[in-house]
Amino acid sequence: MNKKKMTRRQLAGLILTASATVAAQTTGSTPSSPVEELEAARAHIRHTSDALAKVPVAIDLEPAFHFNA
Amino acid sequence: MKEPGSDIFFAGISELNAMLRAKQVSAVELVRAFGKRLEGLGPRYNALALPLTEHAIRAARAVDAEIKRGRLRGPLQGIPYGAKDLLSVSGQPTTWGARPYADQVFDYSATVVTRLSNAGAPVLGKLAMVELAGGPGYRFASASLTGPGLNPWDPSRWSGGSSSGSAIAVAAGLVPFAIGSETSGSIITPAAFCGVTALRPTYGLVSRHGAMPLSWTLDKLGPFCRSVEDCGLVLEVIAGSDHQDPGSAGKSFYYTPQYARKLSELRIGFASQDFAESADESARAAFQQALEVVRGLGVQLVETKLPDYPYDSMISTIISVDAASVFETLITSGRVDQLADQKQIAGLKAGLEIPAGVYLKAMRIRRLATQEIFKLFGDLDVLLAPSRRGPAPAIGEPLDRHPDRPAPQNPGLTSLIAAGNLAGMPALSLPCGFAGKLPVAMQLAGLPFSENMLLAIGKEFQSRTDWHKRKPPTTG
Repeated sequence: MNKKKMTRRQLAGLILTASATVAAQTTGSTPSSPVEELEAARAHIRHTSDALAKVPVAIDLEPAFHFNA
Repeated sequence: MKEPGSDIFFAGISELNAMLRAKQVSAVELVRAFGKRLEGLGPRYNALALPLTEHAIRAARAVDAEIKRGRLRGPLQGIPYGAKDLLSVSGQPTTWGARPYADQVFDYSATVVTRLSNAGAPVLGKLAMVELAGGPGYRFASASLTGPGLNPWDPSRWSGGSSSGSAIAVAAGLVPFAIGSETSGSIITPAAFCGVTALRPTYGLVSRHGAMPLSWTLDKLGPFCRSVEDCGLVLEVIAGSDHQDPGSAGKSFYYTPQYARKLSELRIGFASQDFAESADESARAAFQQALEVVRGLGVQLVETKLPDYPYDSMISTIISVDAASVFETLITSGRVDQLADQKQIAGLKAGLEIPAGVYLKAMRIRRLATQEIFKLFGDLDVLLAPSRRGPAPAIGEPLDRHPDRPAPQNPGLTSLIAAGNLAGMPALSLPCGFAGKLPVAMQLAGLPFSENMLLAIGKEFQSRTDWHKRKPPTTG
């Protein structure tokens, strides 16, 4: 198995970013840097992906690609 | 002919057209009067992206010559209008409200601009908008090349977006009508916040050729007007088949209020809590009164709710992926960082990372949800809900912060904007009262191509109310 090495600085950065993202999600605070913004956007995508994953769909259900109202 | 008086600035299309035909005013005079007002007041509200008064005067001269010869084209002949700055006008800057596109010029005009030109309507100016029509989401009203859209009813409040300038310009009497766009809420929201009537047409009814793409299966263009009747007149001109728009439904629209069904035959679905506990407290009284006016039309009001689906997650995923693909070059080149709103910048970048499976899941659920929504219309003709839960927020307030109250147990029709857009449904936003000094509105949504029914109900509502005729105090 491949072990990915991480420096202490990278680890600290990751923890800080994760904390900021969690804080932004739970307190509604505004991300204060582009890095935090990107993490918040990714967290939002995870949140929406999770919501979509909970919806069961039949195996023969096709996506609405050729969309016509 | 004498210079037109200030009463023209809030006149309807039919009224202005009658004045033109009676030669009480010329098309050039009309353009000059509105042009002066748009250039004078437009920047005060950050509503104007580009004045085109001289361009419009040239078109108006041709209209006057036609009227003199007795060549009458229809009710829009000689009526100037504003176009959201995501619509191309040949040879003129089209900025999409965004700094990276500040110098962009197309050598062709959008189909709606051409159609309006053929009907004799001169384009008087490009109207401000939220950058890239909001892209995958933005946090602040300042997300625009021209600054935050200021509400004519109270400039300390936001105009709504992304068709900010279109709503402001009509509300403040700067243009008789305007064209905006909606991917998810960009017509309904600013119309509600600024107290004007607006129509989001069925997906595919109005060509998007020459308009900035944001999400291919969601983008729609529609009119902002003084009344329901004006929306019908404008839609008749801008709707129609266009081989240059792959999403075109290949259908025309004829405004035929005379053939409307009897109101007593119509069943309107609504959720009572949308007009009460789900609404902002300040708006509840206005919503309740509006609901009683609708009841007084003689229609049958029936309690209903949307099928239970994650509408916001679906539409957010679809827009994010489409927008990231549309603006891939902008993102990968790094020029995306020139945008004004940090949330939008991050959202565009993150959109490139969404897995194909997630997008496909959203599009599969979309089909399922659309089928379920359409089933509601087996028993109903129209859905009715507040356009927004309350009045415009303050400038500077984060737009993505949700109110400090629990989500309603029964969501009713609170997701009607997202659901209606996902299903390609038309919707009509009608001013229906005030919360303090700020307007609020309700929306009627129907099956695809049911515009005439929505307009008929809306017209009857406006014959019994005068909310659509109110003028903002700051506009004179």
